[in-house]
Amino acid sequence: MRGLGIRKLKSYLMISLITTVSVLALIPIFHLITSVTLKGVEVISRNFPNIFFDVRPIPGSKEVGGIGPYIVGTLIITSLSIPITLTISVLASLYSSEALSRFERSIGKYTRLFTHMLIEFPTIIIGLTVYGLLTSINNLFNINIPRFSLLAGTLALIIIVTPYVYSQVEDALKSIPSHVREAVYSLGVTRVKAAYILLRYIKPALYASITIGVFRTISETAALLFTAFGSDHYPILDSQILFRPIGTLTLAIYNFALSPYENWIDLSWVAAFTLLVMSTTLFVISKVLSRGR
Amino acid sequence: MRDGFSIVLKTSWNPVKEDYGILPAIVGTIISASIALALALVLSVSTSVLIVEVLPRRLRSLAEVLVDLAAAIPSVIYGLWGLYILSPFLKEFVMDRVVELGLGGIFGYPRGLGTSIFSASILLSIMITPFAASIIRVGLRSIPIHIKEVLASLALTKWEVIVMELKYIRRTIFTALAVAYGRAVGETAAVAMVVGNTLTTDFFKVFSPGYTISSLIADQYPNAEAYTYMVSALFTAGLFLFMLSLVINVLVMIYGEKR
Amino acid sequence: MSRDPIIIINDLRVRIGGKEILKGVNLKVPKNCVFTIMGPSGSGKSTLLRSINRILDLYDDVEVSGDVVVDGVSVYDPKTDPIYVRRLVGMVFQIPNPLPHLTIYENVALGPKINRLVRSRRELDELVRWALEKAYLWDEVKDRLHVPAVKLSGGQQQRLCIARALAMRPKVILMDEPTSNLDPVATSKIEELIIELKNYLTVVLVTHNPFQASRVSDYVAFMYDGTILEVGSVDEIFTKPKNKYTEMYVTGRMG
Repeated sequence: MRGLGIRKLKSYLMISLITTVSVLALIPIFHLITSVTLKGVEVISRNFPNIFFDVRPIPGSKEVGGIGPYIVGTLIITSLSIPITLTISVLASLYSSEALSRFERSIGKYTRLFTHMLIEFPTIIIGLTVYGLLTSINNLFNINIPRFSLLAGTLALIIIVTPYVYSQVEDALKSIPSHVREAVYSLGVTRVKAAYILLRYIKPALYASITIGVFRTISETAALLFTAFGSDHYPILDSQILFRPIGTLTLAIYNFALSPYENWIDLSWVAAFTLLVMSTTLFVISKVLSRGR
Repeated sequence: MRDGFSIVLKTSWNPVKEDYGILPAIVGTIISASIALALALVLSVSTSVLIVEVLPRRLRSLAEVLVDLAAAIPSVIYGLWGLYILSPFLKEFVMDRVVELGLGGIFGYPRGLGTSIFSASILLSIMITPFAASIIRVGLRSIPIHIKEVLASLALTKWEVIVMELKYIRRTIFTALAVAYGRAVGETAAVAMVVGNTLTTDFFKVFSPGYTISSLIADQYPNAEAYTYMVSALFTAGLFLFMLSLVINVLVMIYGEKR
Repeated sequence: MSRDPIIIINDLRVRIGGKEILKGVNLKVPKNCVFTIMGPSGSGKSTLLRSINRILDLYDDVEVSGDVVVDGVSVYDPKTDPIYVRRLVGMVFQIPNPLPHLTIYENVALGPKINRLVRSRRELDELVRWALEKAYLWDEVKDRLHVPAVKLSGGQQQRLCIARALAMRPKVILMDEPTSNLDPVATSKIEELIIELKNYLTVVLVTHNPFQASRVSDYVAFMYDGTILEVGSVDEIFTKPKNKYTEMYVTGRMG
């Protein structure tokens, strides 16, 4: 038994070491969640519940103000982009997972490859691309679509979020047992009808993928910087809304945090707390939904 | 492209003279992502091993939920926390101490809240760890039971088994780290908030405020259209970032685990 | 059973996830023989084998009572280190499982190297060669020791796994259906090897195949539903079984 004692000691020490290191890795997460919550709740209590409806104070004033426009903006841009994202994702994943011919299968294969790459691309590049695309369209047709607008922001979010939702839906379709799929197709129904039945079969997964899509949408910052751009006013609901800049919670956190005013920085914490609550809720929902599978 | 390739090699950024160089941003990106990666390697492997191989079942799922939750926090929130809590902390307890040792010449001198390449690196490592850990965890779980049995049957200690298991899933670890590196390189909001967004001649010193490619774009876009060539300069920076991600993606595809 | 027993199992009971898998097993395995545990699938023979070297420790929710004594060492004594037990007892598995990221040489050398069974590189080389020779593999691999082990055929991989277990110089080697994933030619080569091995150690073989049991064993234990129904020499079990179920099994009417 030469050296067994030393080997066991080493094993014990190394496992203690990785335990310590892991705890060190988790401390910042704990700290972040607690500090955002404490600071957020503290500021909210100063102007509750109006802080969720008011607009930001003018520079130099000592008022608390609120984050109303950004909450509304996030809701608008999300409800605008998610249905489109979902439609594209469902159609594309049905196409690639229920492919019947060799041609359809190869299209599906390249779609999958492309989306996997798209997921890993920095979102700021997608923002830049949308900005550049709108510039080119404007120059080409000699028109003037505003590049800092809700339209541009929605477009960027659709490009960013679709790959996530697509791969979720596709995974779910692929996980349908072959006997179920064979049973559905053996009913002699049309492909559209079969697709409908299969989608009903993966309903919980479909809900989970919507949750993940919404989560990705409300968390995005970088791509919105030069598309949605941000605005400190309540969006006016008229025909021109698509062509005006719009604020979101993420843009508010970013801009207020880097501003020189104390009370704006405070609002940044409030927006961060609000966003944290929203994203944690979605996280819990998606966990529960995927556990059901 | 007025300047051609020289924009990549120049270190100046002077909109008034329409003179743009993105070398400091490229260097800042690579330094911050690399430090973050080195730390994340240790942190993510440790947490994955702890969760899969060490913790009892009940604690295991708790730790797992916490790590997954960490991966689900929007990056801009990490940025806010990094700017007002992490950076000042690092300045007071790390950077100022190192400067006191007379090493400011090597590492640079922190300013203000401590926003710097160093703060960005630490923040990035905290952000990419949960993400890499989730991939490594899946890899550790996928080790067949008969491989675990054979390692134990060769009279290996717990730690020796873990080392062999990590070697067994080394391609998964590579994939996790490469993808995490890609995230670190492209991360914008959080980095732009803690990196300092200042162009100095000390751009290679980690305690000095600096730029990364993405933070340069994020920081400069609001006034870009006021100048003739700045938009093109920012697009060049974007193109460079795009190519960097492309290279990482292709590497993952060639050497990584098929996902 | 005239020879000294090397393994003594006393009233061994194992529950996994609350379900009783072994319901009081008593067994004595003599030295230097091939001792086969035979029985239908689900009878608990794999669990019995895994309790001898405490590989069961890897599974969740396992409760063990009773004891196993290997070469005088009480395996389930709290003072006994499972690593020590696994030095005495080697194991070969159902799936040929060389470590895919290691070469042929490294697969055999891994155990002895980590357990410091050798003092020098030369000694290690010699040990690897010895083990590969004993496993009838040396001639086939001596020119490509440093290629990945997964390049070998299934039968060669399984012999490599036997060499890997032998290199630890164990007193007992446990084999869990070692030929169930192999073709007939590879199987007969392994069976030949198993018979050879008893010259210097004890083999405990698990199989559901009565023909294999009759070909290689000295002693056979018939296991059914977590208990040993009958133990005897290979002749006794196959020519005059006392138990009705044993008879049904060896004549192919059950299993």
